[in-house]
Amino acid sequence: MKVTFKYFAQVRQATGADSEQLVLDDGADMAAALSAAADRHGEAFKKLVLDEFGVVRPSMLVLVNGVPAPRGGQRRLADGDEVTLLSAVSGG
Amino acid sequence: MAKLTPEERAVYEWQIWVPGFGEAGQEKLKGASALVSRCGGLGGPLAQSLAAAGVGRLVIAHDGDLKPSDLNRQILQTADWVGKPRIDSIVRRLRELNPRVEVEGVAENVSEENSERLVGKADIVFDCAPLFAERFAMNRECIRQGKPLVEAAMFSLEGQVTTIIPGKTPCLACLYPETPPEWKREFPVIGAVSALAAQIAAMEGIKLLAGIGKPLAGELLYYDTASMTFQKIPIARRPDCPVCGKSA
Ligand SMILES: [Zn+2]
Repeated sequence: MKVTFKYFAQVRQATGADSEQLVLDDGADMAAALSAAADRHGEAFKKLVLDEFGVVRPSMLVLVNGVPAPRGGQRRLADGDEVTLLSAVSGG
Repeated sequence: MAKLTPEERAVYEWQIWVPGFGEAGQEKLKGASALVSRCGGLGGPLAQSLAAAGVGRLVIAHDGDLKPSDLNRQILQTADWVGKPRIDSIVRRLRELNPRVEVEGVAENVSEENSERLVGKADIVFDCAPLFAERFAMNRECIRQGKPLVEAAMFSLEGQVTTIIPGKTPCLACLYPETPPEWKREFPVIGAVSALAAQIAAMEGIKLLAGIGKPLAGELLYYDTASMTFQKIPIARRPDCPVCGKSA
């Protein structure tokens, strides 16, 4: 199945892309989707998005079709879903 | 209620014409106080709009001396002020813009030590700080004192704004419980992008103080000026939030 990833803030910096489409196994969950994205984008992305146990960091906001997904990564994805990765930013 | 003088009625005429705002809205702004914490690329244009709108008392917390690299976005500064305290030009320029408004400059950034005192000075708080420690300290104190907190932030070509109403909406710790790893205090941004977040935040505050419109309560407004996409994301309280949750 195809899932669209949209990247914002530091995640965009780490991937160098605004968005992309990844092909995942049918019925893959968020943990599998993020691990696929991490494999593709390497250390900077991985460090930013996932903790040492591969769980989404609390400083990240992960949305599926515009709605926040639970942090555990168990959210099942479907063909055509849009996953948005947003990170905490600040002022200055 | 703070009554308007004839001069104030003339100065604020265009906004008094705004349906629903009127003279009553202006009086509410006149009687209100706001804390703007850090007054740089975000807090600068924000404080400028609050002063122009006639919020009666502004408390501005900002430490440090002006650097050349501040000038792309810190529009309350002047080119001749490099090396001198930022707070001096902030206070001077706000007073020049609107002498009817009381401006108190505090040459401090918000911390665990001073947050109670600084938040205690205002009816509403605007978080424009670069460091997450400052942001979390302000969030905790606003929840404790039951004061609304407008959260504004930017990065590169993007911005995020939400309004925290203690007891009703998620707080900053519900939304982002932790500082991002390897967060750098200096980051890419264009001044117009931070000014845009500032104006959205200023309107959130003006709406809350005047009692008009609908704030970004339980919603994060996210924008990307690269594609000019604006999006509202629903956000929820975390029952286990250490700051605003049941066990807090
Ligand atoms: Zn909370």
